[in-house]
Amino acid sequence: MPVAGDPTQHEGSDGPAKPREGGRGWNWLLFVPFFGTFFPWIYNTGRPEFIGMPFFYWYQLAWVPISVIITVFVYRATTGSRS
Amino acid sequence: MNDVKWVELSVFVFLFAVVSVLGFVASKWRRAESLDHLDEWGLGGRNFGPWISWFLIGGDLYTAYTFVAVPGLLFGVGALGFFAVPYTIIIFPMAFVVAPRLWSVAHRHGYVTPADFVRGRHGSSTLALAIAITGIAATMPYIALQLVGIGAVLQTMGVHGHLPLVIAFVILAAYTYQSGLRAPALIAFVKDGLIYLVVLVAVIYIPIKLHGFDDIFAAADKKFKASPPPNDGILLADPQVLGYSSLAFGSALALFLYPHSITGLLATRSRDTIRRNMAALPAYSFLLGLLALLGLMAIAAGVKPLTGANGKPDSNTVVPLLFDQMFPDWFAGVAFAAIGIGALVPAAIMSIAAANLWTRNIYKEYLRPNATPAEEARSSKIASLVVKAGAVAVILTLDPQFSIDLQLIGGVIIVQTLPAIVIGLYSRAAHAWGLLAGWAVGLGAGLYMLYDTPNLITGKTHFGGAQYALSKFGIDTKVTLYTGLIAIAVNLIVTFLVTVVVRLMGRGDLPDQTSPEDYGVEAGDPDVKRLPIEEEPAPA
Repeated sequence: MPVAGDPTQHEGSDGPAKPREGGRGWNWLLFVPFFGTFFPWIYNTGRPEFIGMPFFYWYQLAWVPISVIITVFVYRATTGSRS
Repeated sequence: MNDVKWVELSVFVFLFAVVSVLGFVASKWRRAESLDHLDEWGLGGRNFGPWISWFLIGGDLYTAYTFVAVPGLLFGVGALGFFAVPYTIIIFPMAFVVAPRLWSVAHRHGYVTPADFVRGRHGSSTLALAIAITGIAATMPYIALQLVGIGAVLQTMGVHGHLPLVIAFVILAAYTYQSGLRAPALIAFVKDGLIYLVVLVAVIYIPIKLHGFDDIFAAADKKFKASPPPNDGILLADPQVLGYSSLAFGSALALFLYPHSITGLLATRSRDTIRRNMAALPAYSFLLGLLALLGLMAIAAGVKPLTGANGKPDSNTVVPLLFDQMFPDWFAGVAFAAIGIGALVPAAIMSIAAANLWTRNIYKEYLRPNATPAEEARSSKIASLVVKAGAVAVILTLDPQFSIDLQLIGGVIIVQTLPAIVIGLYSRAAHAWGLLAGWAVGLGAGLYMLYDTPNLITGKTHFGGAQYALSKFGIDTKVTLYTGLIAIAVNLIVTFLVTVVVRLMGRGDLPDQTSPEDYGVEAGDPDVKRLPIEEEPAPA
């Protein structure tokens, strides 16, 4: 797996115009947290519970770390060399 | 004053004094040659790295009011109050893409405010004025609400009357005047440290004392089932579902349009700093989610909110009361200080942001076009005092309920700046006149809908909430939608139509100061000037 932040591992980083940020296609992943939380119809329910918390609450809390992981991933995938 | 809780109050006053000293010392922190430039006073030298920015922006967005009002909402209506969680989950990935463009173009051209960008991009000082006034109008009541947060804490400690609030704000005004944005940046470390400590202790310690989440949710469920209003509960009622997601989405759109958010963004050192922060800021969302649950814990703990100035129970006192009841006195004092100091950081940044809008987009644009950077800085410093005095006056003279109404309105009106700013960051497809017309009609529609919204629980006939019943459009349904989202749709439609008409009339575009490359520049790129820069000549 390419080392994140390593300029030599990213597509386009050998282009002429110092591509600091590349691989913009990864940005589409940023829609995932939106689809996960924008539709309360899918999570407006009490079960299954987790440590006594209804699904509604822990499901949404769980999306916080998931969105962090996704955003950090996209950050790494789109960050090339910083001159 | 015989019900004053002295131990709590002493800890509170001590921590408050510590941050006040920090606020004054901050003027020497990362010191520039002089603070007589708006980039220095108003943006902290535009040089904050990822760590400081994380504390600063986090301290800026997650205000004391959030920390008392969101749990208060869960205490009152249950699940609906949890919208703050999806709201902050949705926003950061969006801002990850959009905000760096704003940073780059602002860095390239030395923009200080969102209206500066609008002026440069769309070539219309009238549109910029509209954006600036909208920003100031949305920010003022928000500052007043920070006082509500401090007030709730003081009331819980048995301190009544307005004088302590006024003293706190005078101290805040003095060190903001002195140190500019460096003051809240330095204090934010203390604030966030305290908040994290208190919340982590609270969400571990209180559920244990209340015999776990099972009992907490069972108690909340019992309370909501017993109460008359049909739209509360530990889950959303069916007609609320669309309201919930539209509120989360609409609030997310508004968040980074607030001038104080943009001030935080533009104070960063680099584009990369912003991108890193948008990935790291959701840590605060987790905190907010846990805090929100404190509202339900308060139900299980049998908390009865104190009576507010208007004679009704003030749900903002729920969290302070819960802390008071659960924690030993000294730790309750720490918790109260966390909330109180949590009010100071955003209040300082908001007043700086509003002051910068005044200086850049009204004072310099219309009153003194030849103002030097030093005069701009002086104007902003004085304006920051005026803004805070205005916020105190709002609290002293008006029913606190009124400032909450204003806050409700604030979100609906600030989102009307979205087309000019966010579309502007990507294209010039919308004409300045279209944007201006869209702003005006969207604003009018939003205000009308808010006016037309009664609140069945409190019995108010107007400004009863930011959920607009779709039945008002003649649709046979109980479903409601966030007013701001309807208003922004109206805004976008009008912007589009007027743009088409203007183009058909053969009017050309107004001048654009920016060029496409400007939106991707990074600090240190060749031919990007080292900021702060001397003022560029205004476009002819």
